[in-house]
Amino acid sequence: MRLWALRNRLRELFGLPPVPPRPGSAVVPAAPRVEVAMAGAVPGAVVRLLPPVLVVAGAALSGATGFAWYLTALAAIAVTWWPRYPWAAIVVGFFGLWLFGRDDLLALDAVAGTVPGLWRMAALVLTVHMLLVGTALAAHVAWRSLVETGVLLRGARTVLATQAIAQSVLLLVAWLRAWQPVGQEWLRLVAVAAVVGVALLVVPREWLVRRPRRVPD
Amino acid sequence: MTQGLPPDGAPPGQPWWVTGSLVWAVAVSLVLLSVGALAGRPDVALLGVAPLLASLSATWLRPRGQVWADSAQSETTAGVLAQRVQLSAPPGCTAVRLRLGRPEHGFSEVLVHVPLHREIEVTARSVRTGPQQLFRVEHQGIGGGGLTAGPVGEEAPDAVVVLPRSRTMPALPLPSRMRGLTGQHDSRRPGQGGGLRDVHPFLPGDSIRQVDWKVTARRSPNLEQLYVRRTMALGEAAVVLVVDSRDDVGPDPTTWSGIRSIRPDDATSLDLARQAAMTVAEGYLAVGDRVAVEDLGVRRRGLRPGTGRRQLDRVVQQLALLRPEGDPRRRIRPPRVSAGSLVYVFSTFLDAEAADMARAWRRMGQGVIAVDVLPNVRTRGLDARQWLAIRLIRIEREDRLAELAAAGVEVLRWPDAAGTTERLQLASRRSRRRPGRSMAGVVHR
Repeated sequence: MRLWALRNRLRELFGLPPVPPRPGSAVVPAAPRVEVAMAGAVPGAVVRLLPPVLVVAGAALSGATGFAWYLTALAAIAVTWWPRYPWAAIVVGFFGLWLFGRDDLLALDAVAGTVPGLWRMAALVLTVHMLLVGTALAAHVAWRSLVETGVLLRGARTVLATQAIAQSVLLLVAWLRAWQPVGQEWLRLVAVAAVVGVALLVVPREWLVRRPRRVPD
Repeated sequence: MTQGLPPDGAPPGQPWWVTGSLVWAVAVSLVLLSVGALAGRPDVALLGVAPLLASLSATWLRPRGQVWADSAQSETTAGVLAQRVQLSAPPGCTAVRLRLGRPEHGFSEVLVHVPLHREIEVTARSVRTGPQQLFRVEHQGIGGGGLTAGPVGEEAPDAVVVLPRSRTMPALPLPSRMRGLTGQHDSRRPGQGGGLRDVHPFLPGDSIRQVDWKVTARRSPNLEQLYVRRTMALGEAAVVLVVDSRDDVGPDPTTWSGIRSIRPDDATSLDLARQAAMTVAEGYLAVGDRVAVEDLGVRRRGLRPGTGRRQLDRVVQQLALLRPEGDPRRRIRPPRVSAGSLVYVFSTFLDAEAADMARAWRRMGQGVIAVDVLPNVRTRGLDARQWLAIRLIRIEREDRLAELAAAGVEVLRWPDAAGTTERLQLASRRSRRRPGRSMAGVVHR
């Protein structure tokens, strides 16, 4: 009987309908729930469990070692249980830190004339993006809820559109590295200017303006 | 229904707000880009490209206005509560988060895709009948893959009346006296239209058409005396359904206090009473008898006796609207019923009032059938005090029902379907027995 109850508890967690007890069993079946007709659905638990997997994948791709893995484990727990908090963005910051502490992933192999870390970098760019979007979606999903596949497909379409640009930039950087391995200081200046310009142009003005103080009644 | 569809030309509303995750993603992306650019590390800078693009596109393309939800026509039957919910979302909405629930069923949360307009069907299994509330709908739009969110809206649940479903009952007993001069049943009075009463010598006033020529030829070959067939008159039965709406208890005694809600797949005593009363009403009205409804729980006048299909609709509607109303005063006298009626009392008999009424009617000479509609009580999981309490209640009830049976009241237990059918069939055969006929309806010569 306990096994039956445990099995139904697990099924409920994944949004599946409960199974009836065996014939002749004295247990009381679970109370019926409200059902919504949907065109294919994924249990909310799957959506909630995707970000920690991506955290681990991102840590592995960014070259986490030693103590970094403890932080990764903590981050995985944090994004699983508190997806509303900005843990994912902080984790991405740590990925950048770990990447910064290691050799350049996009360094040119002078002998072969290629960029050996290109695929790894491409995977990391994709993982980081999916982590942020997946955590943002998981913040709106309860453990026992159901997520329609149409929602995931639409999210995937948006991610693909953004990734097309991001991966193109990555290929451009790799091509520039292969085309002119040295003497790219001018590019660095251009990049810094571009970042400042982007920051001033794209960030909404109201985010940069101090809000007026409320006049007390 | 608190909200309808947005009127044409309505202002688009405020843009949806961005979540904290988006702000942090923009900040971290800009830091990564800056550090990567300053340090000449394109790998670090590239980490921030995709999050920045995603965040900014979510900010720029965030929807305006709110998600509208409207309850469409509901198709509710006994067994399934169903409702269609129409959703309208502004352009750019990735998903709509819905929280649908009823007090008995709890809440279910889903994230659905709404391409501007969509209709979704919500169902819940329930065996409950009578006035019911459908689903409370709470909704929130989500945009930018979860990075922006709209305002939360709420739809009050619609109210519906779920009509009871009857059970098949092959035979029902008749009262000892029939009313009127028309109907489907043989009366005890001599008259026209009924079964054979006797064969009698022709008397002044008898119609020549009533002469039984075969009997006359056999008994009086020389035609000195004519014999006529005399028949019974026809009549209709008058039945009064007395429903005790003061109690509405489920099979789980821990819910009897009213603090915990009854499971939706558990039929309550009032559900059983509605079903039982409707089954009885259908059976009598189908053969043209008169049926009235009285409610022990209220002081209002009940449904007057009537016959026909429309009366059945009125009876069903009256039964469906029964519900416990406050704490009614104790009745001293039973409601009036016409003489010769057959009275059905549908009650849990958890207190003495319904049983007292049944005994009073029986003393007045009415035929009374007491239908016990208390569901089969589940005693699993009760603690010692609850178990003791339910045991005392059971003893009291059994004594009460035994006193009723001793007073000449037929006692039926409705949850025992086979037993009830058998008892009613036996009562039906007994009630149709006339002097000179056996139980099987064979005339003794």
